[in-house]
Amino acid sequence: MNSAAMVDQLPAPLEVTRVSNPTKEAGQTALTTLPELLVLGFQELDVRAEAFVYNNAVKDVEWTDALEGCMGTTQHAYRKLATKQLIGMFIMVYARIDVAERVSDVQATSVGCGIMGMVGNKGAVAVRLTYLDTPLCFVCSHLAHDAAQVDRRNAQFHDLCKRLLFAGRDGAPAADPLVPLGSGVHGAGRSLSVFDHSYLVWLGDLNYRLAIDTGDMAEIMARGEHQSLLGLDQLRIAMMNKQAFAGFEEAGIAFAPTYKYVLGTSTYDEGRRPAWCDRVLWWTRPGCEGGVRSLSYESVDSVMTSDHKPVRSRLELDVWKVNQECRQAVYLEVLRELDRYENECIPTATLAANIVDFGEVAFGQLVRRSMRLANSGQVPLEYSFVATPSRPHYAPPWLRISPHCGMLLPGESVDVGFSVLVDERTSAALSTRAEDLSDILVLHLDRGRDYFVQVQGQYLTSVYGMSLDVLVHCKQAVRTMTREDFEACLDSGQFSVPVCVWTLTDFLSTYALDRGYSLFYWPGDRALAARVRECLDCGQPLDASILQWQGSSDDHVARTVVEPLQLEMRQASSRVSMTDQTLVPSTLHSMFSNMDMAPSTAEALERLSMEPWTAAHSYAQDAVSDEEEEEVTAIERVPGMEALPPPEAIASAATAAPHDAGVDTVATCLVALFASLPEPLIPTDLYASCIEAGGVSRVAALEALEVLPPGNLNVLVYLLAFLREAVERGATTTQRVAQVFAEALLRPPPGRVPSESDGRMLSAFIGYLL
Amino acid sequence: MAEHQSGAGSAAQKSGRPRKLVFKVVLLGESAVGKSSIVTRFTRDEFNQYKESTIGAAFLTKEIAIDASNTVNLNIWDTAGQERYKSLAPMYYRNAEAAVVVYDITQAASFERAKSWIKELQRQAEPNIIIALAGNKTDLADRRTVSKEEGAAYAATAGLLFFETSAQSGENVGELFVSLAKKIPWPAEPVASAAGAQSVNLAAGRSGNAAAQNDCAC
Repeated sequence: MNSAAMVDQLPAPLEVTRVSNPTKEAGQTALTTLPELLVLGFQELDVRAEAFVYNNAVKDVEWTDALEGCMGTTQHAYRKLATKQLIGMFIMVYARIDVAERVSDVQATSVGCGIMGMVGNKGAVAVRLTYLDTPLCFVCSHLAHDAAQVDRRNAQFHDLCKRLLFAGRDGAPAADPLVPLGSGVHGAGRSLSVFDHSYLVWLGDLNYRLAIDTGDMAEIMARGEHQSLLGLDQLRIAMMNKQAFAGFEEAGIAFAPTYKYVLGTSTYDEGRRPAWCDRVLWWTRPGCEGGVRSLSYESVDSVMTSDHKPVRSRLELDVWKVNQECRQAVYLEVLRELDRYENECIPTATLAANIVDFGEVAFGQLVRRSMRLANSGQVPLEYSFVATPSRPHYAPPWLRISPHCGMLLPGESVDVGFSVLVDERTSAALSTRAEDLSDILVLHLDRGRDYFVQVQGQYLTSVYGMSLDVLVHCKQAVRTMTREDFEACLDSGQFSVPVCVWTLTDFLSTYALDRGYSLFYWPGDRALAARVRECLDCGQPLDASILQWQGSSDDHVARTVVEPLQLEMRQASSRVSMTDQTLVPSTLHSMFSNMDMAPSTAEALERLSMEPWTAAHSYAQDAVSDEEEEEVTAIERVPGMEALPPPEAIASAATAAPHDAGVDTVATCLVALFASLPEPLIPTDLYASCIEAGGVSRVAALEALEVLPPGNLNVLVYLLAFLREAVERGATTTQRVAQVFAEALLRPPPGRVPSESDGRMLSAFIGYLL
Repeated sequence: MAEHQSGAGSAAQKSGRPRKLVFKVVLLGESAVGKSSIVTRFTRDEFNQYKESTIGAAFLTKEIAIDASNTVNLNIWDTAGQERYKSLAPMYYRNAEAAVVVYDITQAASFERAKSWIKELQRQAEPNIIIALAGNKTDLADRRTVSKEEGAAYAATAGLLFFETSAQSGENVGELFVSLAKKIPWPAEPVASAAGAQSVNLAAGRSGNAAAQNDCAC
């Protein structure tokens, strides 16, 4: 508590006096020796019957004039602050003229609690004021008389405490430094009770008597042993038992009981037991303890106009003046402290970068980047990448984030992995540049702020992954086409068999068909496949240099291609993993990654280029067993894999034939081209009817294709013509072609798991077409 | 030629309402006689001296007005002329309302090939198919080896429309297709035949090839 810093403790004495006849006090003394505040309380000023009915202020003025007359010259030293009369009760508050400016917010009120608990024959009048920054309250009350009415007096005290209210102050900052901010005490609208002050002085004829009759009172009084009677004072007993005035203090009583005298004398009325009816008590709010000191407490015997003797108390109060500048400074400091504390509780993260750049990304190529995310805050951090209004998933479909959510303790960090893979599910829009390989991810911290991470890459537009509709309309190399070029050729209304299909089939017709090679048995070479794809994408011809490919036996190529592949495979066995420098269509990729890679690079390479497709058998199981990758892409679908005949059948027939890596690669690229179509050549919605037709007849197969769009049918006719030619010229068998192309040309609709018989039926279906 | 056009449009005029029909037209002919060039000239009014070979078949459309209220949308299948694609042709001329057989007036062999295409069409295509014979490349008339009379005589014998055209200059290209479109009989009821006209027919390609089919029964 730094109230000391905010409050100037003024030593100036503030004196409160209850006097019936102040003239005696009014001397010619210097101004500063006079009390700063004068509070005068009267009871039973007006006991006429009509006074109960007409509580008029005429008497107020008369009494004021009379009292000020009594003050003589001293009255010029004081300014009246307030008076309040309720029938016989009257309170007057004066401030010494030099300190009157220190007083503000003066209010007066009264409460009757006499007859019926309401009438003002008993009750209280009260004045509250603020001296500098110290709220003060003075209550003058007249409680029920008669020795037996102690409970009634106690009840009246509590009643008065509740009902004596002042108007609350408007919106001003709390003047009392001890009142917590926002407690409502100083707020507008809330009324102030007598206890909403630093000090409460309660004076008046409280009418408490002595508890029991102790025999010969007159004798005790005569002997001046009245002090021994104090223990019988009902007020002290009530205070001790906390029945009334609990927490109030009173100066030591050295004077004789102030009641009841024979009017006009200083002689006790023999008919009544003497009592200390007239008292001055005070209460201090918690935090202001000890702020009141009694300088004197006495009765004035010389006043004989009443059957009571007046009581006079001189009190010194500690008051506060708030240093508003200091107060404001401390207030702001506390606010800042709270603010800082609140900020520390907000999770904060540090990202190593806010851009993830993948560079050039080819179809089916997995490119990985990572970014360090650190908890730089003071509290545990829960992060997650979240969806945006324009994107229902936390990441675009071509991007994976791992881990995409997590918890970090303060000081911890994690490498968040970003992998981009464009496959046939996401390639369509990217291929025509209708969309960019870029997005803004939202990294949300639980109870904290959002961070934005830009992911970007340049998709190498390829015929792989391009939708057939675009392929049949394109006449130029796709790599150099702009978005407008794509739109223009789609609007042209012209289509034909795609150039890339022709390029591949033409190469095979020219170099493979009559040379004893067996097509669609060997996967070929990955690096060579990348070159073939570049040729297709950039509109370059495939020539004889593809043949007799030497690249795969070169040790350097082996290292760059195979070693990273092995590494990747160990990390994620099912995920098709590519090094950045290799560009291989996804289907090819999966073909290769199926292989059981030996530790030796040379051996692995040997398998890679030499192993017939039959070696790739366990791919599907691998894919399922992988827990890290929840999504399954087309890469897992390898044409012809599951429908292979027994190895020995191939071994005897085809694999014994000579083969060339170039021819094998181009043949594989042809299959892969169709396997990478976003929508297969024979659309998914025809899948079921094709299976059905596969079990019936050639006529049924042809009928199933009647609804095929003309562009698709045109390409299918062309492809079948080529395949038929290849079969007729002995380069492959109908059975083999049917097996391989059944999966490249047809794909099950989402949710349908192809059965073994489905595969057979589809092979039969393609067989019918041939 | 004139007599072929005399009855043109009569079917269309029978109906009071404006009508729009879709007709399928197939182009056949030896490689490099200018089939694609004729179609490109007709549909886009462009000419490319060094046009690459057509792959398989290309599809183009062109809408032409027969008269004030009737239009025809021609769905044109431009087939590849190379010998290796010959077996695909039946799939394209099947269900075609009209065919244009093109030869190069500077290549006598292409005229002979055209004749064999016409024979095949008359034997295997729809019986009422309208066939036009086009002798292309009149811009190279100085190297002509097939006379106009020769072509016209054959066309008259075989009951064909006949034009000598130049895809390079555009001569007679529009007339060729407009005459063809007017010659096609309009159905009595307004039937939109778009679906049939746009399609190619797989079954046609395999007709009479039962032996091969037996091979792949697995």
